[in-house]
Amino acid sequence: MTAALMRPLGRSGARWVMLVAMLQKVENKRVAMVVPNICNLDYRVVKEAEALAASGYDVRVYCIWKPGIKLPVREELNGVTYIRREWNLVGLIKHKLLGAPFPSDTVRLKNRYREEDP
Amino acid sequence: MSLTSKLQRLGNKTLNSRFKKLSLMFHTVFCDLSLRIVFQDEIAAWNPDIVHAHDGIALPLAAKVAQKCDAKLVFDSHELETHRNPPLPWLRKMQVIHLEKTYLPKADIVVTVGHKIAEYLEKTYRIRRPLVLYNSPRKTPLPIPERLKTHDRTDLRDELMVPPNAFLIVHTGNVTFNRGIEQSVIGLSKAAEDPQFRKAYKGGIHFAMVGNTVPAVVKRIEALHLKYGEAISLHFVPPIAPNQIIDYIKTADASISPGIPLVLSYEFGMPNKLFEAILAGLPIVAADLVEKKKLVAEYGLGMSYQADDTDRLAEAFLEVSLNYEIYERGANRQAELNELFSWEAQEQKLIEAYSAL
Repeated sequence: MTAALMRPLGRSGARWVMLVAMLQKVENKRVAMVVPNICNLDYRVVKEAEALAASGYDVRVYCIWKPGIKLPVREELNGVTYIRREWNLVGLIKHKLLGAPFPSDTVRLKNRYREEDP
Repeated sequence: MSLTSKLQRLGNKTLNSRFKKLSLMFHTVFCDLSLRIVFQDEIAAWNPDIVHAHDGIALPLAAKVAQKCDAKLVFDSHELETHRNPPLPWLRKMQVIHLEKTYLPKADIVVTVGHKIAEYLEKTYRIRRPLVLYNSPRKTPLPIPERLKTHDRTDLRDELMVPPNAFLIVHTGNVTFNRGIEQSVIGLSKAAEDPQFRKAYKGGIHFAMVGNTVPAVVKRIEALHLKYGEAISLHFVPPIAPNQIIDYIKTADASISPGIPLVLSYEFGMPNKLFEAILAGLPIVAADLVEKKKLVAEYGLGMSYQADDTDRLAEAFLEVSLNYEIYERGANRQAELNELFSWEAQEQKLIEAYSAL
């Protein structure tokens, strides 16, 4: 099927199409980084994520949100998206057993962040 | 104390210790399960091509997501997890070993911070040689968020008002337990008494510690400072933004990188402070830990001393300070070192490894 599509382009044309496809693939490649901390000053993680983002990867860093840290739930910096979720064991047990709200519920986290933000 | 409160205390004690032991047994399982509840679905819904785990706790989660999305798995071991400080209780250590044994062979790339740790991981888990990325700072810093910026702080010597005839030695990184800072204070106090040094540097030694402090350690350091006759001046300097550190410490005369081989992770360690000093162009006085010592000797960066001997520390310091012209680096040499050790060189390795995935 692909060979049939590429025939009118000739041999070098096919190579060109493949090169473009490969480049597009790198650009669209998604990298999910998982860091079990708040990733505010974990500079090694930040440096790695920024390096990958600069060379065309789509990078997201999944890290932890805690009450009182005054950090946004979602932020973008130098091409990297940081997504923070609350990792609270007690909250999770309450959620499972007593039907309390899910601790890393985005709306709830955003509200709490807004309350904390002066 | 009444009998009831005594009984209560005993009950609490036993319960606490039992609970602690029990929780230790299930520590990894708890962490893994709860992390998976929080992150797994969200990450899997994004459908990544590569999942990159930092720290052992995140490894099982990353492996599960990678399996689910048919993605590649990358693991970055920031230190030797099984031999970290404070030493892990054996129940947790067993779990960490089990975790690494299970998941490290599954990772497509394993990244770590030093060649010694890479060798250890390769031999212990029979995996391909991990990629080594040093913890070095950037040559050309990228912008950082406003909350991390430290404005109006550009020059360490100027900020501390250290006179030009004094020798300013800097330690970057947190002032906390088991970093060997206490030994440095003793060693430097001994060196300050040296008549030759006094003649060369009339302003004496100024020891600046840039970073967060633990009050108990500060107290201990101040007590030692008093005990050794206040021969040097101590400065506890609040931390500086990570993208400013090189320019900030450039005006110091030398850097000290102490260390105690307390656990294997420390013995093999290649700390940030070493690379910060290299890029800032400072001569280094370093403890003779396995890999650090080799690097310092190979590139003629400074002097090493026996980690637990403060007299050797004083000797190494005097060697650097009294023969300063030998250890000072010229512009060409500095440019070479920058090319070799800056983060830009490290990230190239990471990107090559990634593009081969």
